[in-house]
Amino acid sequence: MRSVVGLLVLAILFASAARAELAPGDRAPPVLAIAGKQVPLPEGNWIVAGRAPGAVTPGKDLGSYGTIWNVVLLRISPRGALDAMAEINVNDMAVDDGWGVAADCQRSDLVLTVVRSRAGWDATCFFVTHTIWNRDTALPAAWRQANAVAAQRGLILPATTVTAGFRVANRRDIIDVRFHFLADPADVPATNWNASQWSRDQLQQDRWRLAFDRSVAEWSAMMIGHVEAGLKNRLPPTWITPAPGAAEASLDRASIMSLRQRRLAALRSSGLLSAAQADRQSALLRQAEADDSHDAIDPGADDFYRLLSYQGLSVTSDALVTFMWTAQSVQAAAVTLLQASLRTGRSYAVAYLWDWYGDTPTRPDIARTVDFAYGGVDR
Amino acid sequence: MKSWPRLAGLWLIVALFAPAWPCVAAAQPMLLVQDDLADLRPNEVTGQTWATTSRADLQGQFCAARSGTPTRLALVSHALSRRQRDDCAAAKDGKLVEALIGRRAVIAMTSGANFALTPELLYRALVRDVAAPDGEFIANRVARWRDLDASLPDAPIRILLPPSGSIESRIVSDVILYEGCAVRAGAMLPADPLKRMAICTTLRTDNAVTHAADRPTVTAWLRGQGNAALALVGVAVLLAEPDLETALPLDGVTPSFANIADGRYRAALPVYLLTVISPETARTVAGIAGPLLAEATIGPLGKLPRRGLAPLAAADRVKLRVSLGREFENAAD
Amino acid sequence: MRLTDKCLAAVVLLLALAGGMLPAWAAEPGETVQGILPLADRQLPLPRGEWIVAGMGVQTQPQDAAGPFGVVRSAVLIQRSGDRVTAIAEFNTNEIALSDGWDAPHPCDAAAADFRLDRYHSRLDAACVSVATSHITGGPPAWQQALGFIASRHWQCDETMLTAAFVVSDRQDFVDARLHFDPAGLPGQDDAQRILFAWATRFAPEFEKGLANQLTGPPFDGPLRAALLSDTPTLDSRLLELEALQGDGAISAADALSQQQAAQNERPRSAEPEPVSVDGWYYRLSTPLINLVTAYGVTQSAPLAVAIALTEHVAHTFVYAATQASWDRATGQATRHTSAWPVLIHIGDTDKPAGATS
Repeated sequence: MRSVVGLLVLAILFASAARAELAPGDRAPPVLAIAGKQVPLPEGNWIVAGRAPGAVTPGKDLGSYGTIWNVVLLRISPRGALDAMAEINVNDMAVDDGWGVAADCQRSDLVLTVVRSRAGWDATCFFVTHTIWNRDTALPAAWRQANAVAAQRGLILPATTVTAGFRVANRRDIIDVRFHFLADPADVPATNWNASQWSRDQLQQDRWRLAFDRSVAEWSAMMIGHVEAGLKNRLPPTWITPAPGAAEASLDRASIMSLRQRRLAALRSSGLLSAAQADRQSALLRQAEADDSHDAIDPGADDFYRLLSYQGLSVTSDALVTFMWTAQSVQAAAVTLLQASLRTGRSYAVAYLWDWYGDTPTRPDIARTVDFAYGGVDR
Repeated sequence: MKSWPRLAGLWLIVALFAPAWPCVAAAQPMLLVQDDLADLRPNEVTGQTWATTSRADLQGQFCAARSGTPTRLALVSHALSRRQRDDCAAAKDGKLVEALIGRRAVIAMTSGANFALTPELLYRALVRDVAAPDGEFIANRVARWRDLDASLPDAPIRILLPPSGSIESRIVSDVILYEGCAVRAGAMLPADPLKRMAICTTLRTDNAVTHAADRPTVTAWLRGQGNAALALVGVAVLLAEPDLETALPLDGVTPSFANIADGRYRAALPVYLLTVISPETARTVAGIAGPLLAEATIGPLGKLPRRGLAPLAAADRVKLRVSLGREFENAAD
Repeated sequence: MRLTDKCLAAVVLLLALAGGMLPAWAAEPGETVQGILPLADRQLPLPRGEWIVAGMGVQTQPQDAAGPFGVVRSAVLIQRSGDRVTAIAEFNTNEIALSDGWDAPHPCDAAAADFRLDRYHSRLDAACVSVATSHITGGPPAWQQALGFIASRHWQCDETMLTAAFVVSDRQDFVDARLHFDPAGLPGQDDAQRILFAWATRFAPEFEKGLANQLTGPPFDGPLRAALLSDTPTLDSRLLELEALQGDGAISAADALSQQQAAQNERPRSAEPEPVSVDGWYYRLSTPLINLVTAYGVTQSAPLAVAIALTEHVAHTFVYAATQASWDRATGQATRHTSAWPVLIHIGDTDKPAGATS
């Protein structure tokens, strides 16, 4: 018995070493390893349904990333029906100059958007919305494979799903994963996105759909931390992520913050942290959880407001100085107006010339927008 | 007499099918590799049979006018001279291309000692006969490095040479020793090139010199011989033995892939891919040359460096593939 | 079958692993590692060869240290040749990931300028490399442990070493690493620093890969050997991977070529301010000129125009300084990180003598 348990422990510890690529039809592990990253999957029976090179926008100025791997998975319920789908986009090779934030994370018309970081070389966000699956839309190759696998297994693809999308990117790598949860019966027909009963406006009138979205949103707040951990391969290979609808206590226990609190407690009990230090750090963790947005300030906006305040104050001081020397309000006003107009014209001219003849464009510390080819329509 | 019907039958068969022989021969590309570059094993890379030919015969074979053999590639360690290019009959069938794909080099490794080398110092350490002040050549009796130069270690001369017949061995004799000899004894050498070469490159046979075949690994040999022992090795040995770390500069230039690739490190010979590109052969040549020029072949992490080819710089490798790719495309179009 | 205590312990171990409570396996003092040291959920790269773990510990932080990073784990490893210590590796890294990065001052700013490379910096990430001489005296607790380890084995350790320092940080983690090399194994002083610096700039990306637990392949060669080989190892790997993708059909030949060409110029970039700003020389020159000309144009009096222009120039200087200071304060407050950079003691930072030689 001891040797069996020992072998089991060893097998689990070294499970990550088995990195053979999964092909369509294969059963997916709880933590999927793709191109040097890990993507956690919510609990359930997931199968790989499609795997193919994907497309990224913009197509250039992203460095030599190799290709984007687009993987589609289907989750089969205990009754044998399709109850969720996942589409993953990750880069094959690490780059040097970062990626960007998803366009969907910058929208205000979704059920939920949370941007945790949107700096030049670090972008983390998640959102909840609904997706329309239009059979007529041209699908990426991985989705075409997934359609074939679904057809082989007699799985009925949905017309509408509730989608939780996650984007985690740093200077080197990117994970974009969207989980699509089937909530409607299979015979509910497709509509356009705006008219869907899952749209934000319609949701308020539908208690059941609202509750479903809320459970997905609560689950997403827990899941984002694990997607972040997966970007750095820090998930144990056997990590089981709760699925939406899990009890609040289970979600809380599985959250990254909760794991970090338990880590602090372990450091305290081992004596590596004093009680005061552990308490202080625990409080800082709770504070960080409450304030989890780490946006950079848009340098363009920063420059604009600085210039505006400087120009305002300098025009006022010019008026005062001129009046002080001339003691004539009309002259002072004329000089001030002329100076302000000419200086403004000069600024435009310099900016225009700089754009045309200046050095390579700078890289401000604000995230660019990067997106992939997705299977459904969410706008 | 009894055999003549059989012979007649054989000739009949040959005569009947003779017109077809050129067609059969034309299907076979002519792939030549210079004998001391055969260790690059291009046949394994390309999946084709490459014939090994001596350096002296290779250019003649490559350039010989031979109808029905339009596809030709060769790996050589010297560029064609202008006259050879003009006289190359094969070139008249298309565009003659000489593409530098890397270099073979000899690097002096020690187990820790670091001192500066020149071709002249190596010449004086290695050759059997050295020039005396009176112009005669006498037996080389120098036993310690310090006897050659006060700045060198006070240790016995122990040098491990590359395997005989290898291109590294030819670099030692034709490049290092010959140059050292010219510097040291130029005025005293006979006019006859063969005699000059013989005097300059005949090695001493005492225990100062060891030949590669006699030792297990270079690292083990260096450890057994002391700090100032020197091994003249090629890139293949350098890559095969990760414990080799200390390389001696030659003429003030420390060997590195970058210095070898741009020609600053002179104990090296180029390796060229020769081919003729024409509209009829472009696709075939591209199919054979493609695997040979791939990053997995000529890149620092590829097969040929592990067999002795010092790679070109990354930018030059990409440029080589792009430029040859364009040549093939233009010819095929 | 009844569960024995040992089986129960194994089950608890499995559950604990699944709960993510235990830190990643870390080496123990006395163990030998090659290529990678796993520490606090990340990989720390080591140059080729056998490294002996000589000390493990934590860096002492002030009681009021800001930042929920747990502790700073540190490790000291030794490489030797016979009874001589030829290299020392010291690593420091946070135990628990943060959420919003590290506050200034950043250690990259303090590195000596001569052999320093700022690989990149932005609000949330930074990386730098530097080379300098270190005196191997006192240091953190892990080094004290290592000194005892060296002394117990009667190994010799030079008191002055050449050090390559690496700092990498992002929104969640940092790694502060120093690799100290015995100068006897390197050529003369100037050459040694140059060789080590060139090597360090090529080794630095390994720390970034290690933060992401993506170190694969053979270990990186040490400074002397690496100087003989390709000086673009990262680019070489990239070109090979692109070719492999093309061979597998994942990308087209045109795409592979385009990316191969892009890869040659790929460099990590830093956050840069917009080039056109009020304090540029063209603004400083043109503003007083505009003021003077317009003042003269309206007043038709040269002395008055000069007086107005000069006074305005002085006033503008004060206004500019005041607005910049107040905006800097406001944006600084708005973008402040929760965690200050931890207090780190490196080998040689304290005067306590080494006492490790025999």
